[in-house]
Amino acid sequence: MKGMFFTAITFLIFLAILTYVHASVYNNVEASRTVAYKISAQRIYYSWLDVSDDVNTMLNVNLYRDKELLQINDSLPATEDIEDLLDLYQEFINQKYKDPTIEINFENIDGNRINLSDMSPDSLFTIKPMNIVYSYPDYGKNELIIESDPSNFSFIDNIDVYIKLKNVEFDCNYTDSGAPDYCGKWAPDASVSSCSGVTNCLTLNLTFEDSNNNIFNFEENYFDVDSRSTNNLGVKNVTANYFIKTHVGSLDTVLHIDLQNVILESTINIKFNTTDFYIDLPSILNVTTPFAKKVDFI
Amino acid sequence: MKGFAITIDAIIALSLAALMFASILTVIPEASINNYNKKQLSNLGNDILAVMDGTGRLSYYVGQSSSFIQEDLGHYLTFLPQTFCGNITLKIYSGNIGPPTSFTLVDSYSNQTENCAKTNDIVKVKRMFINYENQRYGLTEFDLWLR
Repeated sequence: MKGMFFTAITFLIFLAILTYVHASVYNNVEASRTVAYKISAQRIYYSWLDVSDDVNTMLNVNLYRDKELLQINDSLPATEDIEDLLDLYQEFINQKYKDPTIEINFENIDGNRINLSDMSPDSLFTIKPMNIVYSYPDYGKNELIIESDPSNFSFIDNIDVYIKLKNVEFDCNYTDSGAPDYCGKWAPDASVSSCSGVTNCLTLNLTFEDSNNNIFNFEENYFDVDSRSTNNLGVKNVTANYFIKTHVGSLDTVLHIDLQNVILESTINIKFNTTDFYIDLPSILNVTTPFAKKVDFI
Repeated sequence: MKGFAITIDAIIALSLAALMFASILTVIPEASINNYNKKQLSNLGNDILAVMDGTGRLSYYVGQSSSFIQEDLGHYLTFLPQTFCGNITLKIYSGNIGPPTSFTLVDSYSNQTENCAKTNDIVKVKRMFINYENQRYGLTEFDLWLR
């Protein structure tokens, strides 16, 4: 009887110890796994942002968002061969950054791998969900274009454009609106005195500053963008005369500025009537570790 | 026979008990602390590199003097708590379009927390950067460990 009692007590003590050890080991394994997941998630997050930031640096465009406002700071034309930069950067990731524990790939919308330089410049920054596009015809960045489908145009409240010309001065009269060579002539001209009764009306504040710091602000602020308005802004430098062509409308074109090789810095503020928007590049960045992955538009 | 069984029983019981207590007292607490330390080191390293990249510091190093870069890297190491040690290595490459595309190491700089010998438990974080004007590609590697 006594033997059985000691056996039972011993059995219970060992059972308790075993249970405790099991619980402790289990907790420890779970804690280790949680920490490993967190470190992995953090690594993915930082790697994803790292690559995403660098791609924007190579395109030489800074995007800033604040509530309804999207500010696009751009330098045009491209001073470097952007396609080469993108190709080299992708190879740099493969040769110097990637390791066996992390995969970094660029994909198209179907999930197929693409080269970074395959991103089409004519649909570069897409403002979603309204699919308003800020783009260039090619990576030379000699023209900048903002496009919107007529059904989404109403998301744009107004656009403010400030263009600093770096290497040319005005070759037109920017002070006297009655002068024959006045800078602010539109031909064709679909500007309107107010947006009342106009189906697709753009409120636009367009300003140019030349290399001598002269500032010209267009008097026209409202445009019927179902028709096209065009301005040829005369500029010159020591060697030649140019026209900077600005088209407003017709939709899908909202604004199209053709630089004619003029070097400039532009600040474009697009105010939407909603805060509910985000910006996508036409490439998906896939960062994968053994524990997790982040797959999203750059 | 009975004495022999009791002796064997006692030996097994003692061995098991010793093994279990050893497990509890050594393996569990040490493993937990190491993991959380690793996370802290990783957090701090990634944050410092993100600040350096986000403020344009990494890109700015391209073309600067060796002494300036060494000193500035040392400045960022002072952000580490006193119980942490770190070594920042900055490598700057030029790219050559191929095939095969290759990268040539142009400059390399390194700075380490003073009086901190490296241990075996090192957490490694890294960050790339690009200098658009000079067409240079950079890699910053940050090793962190406990003092």
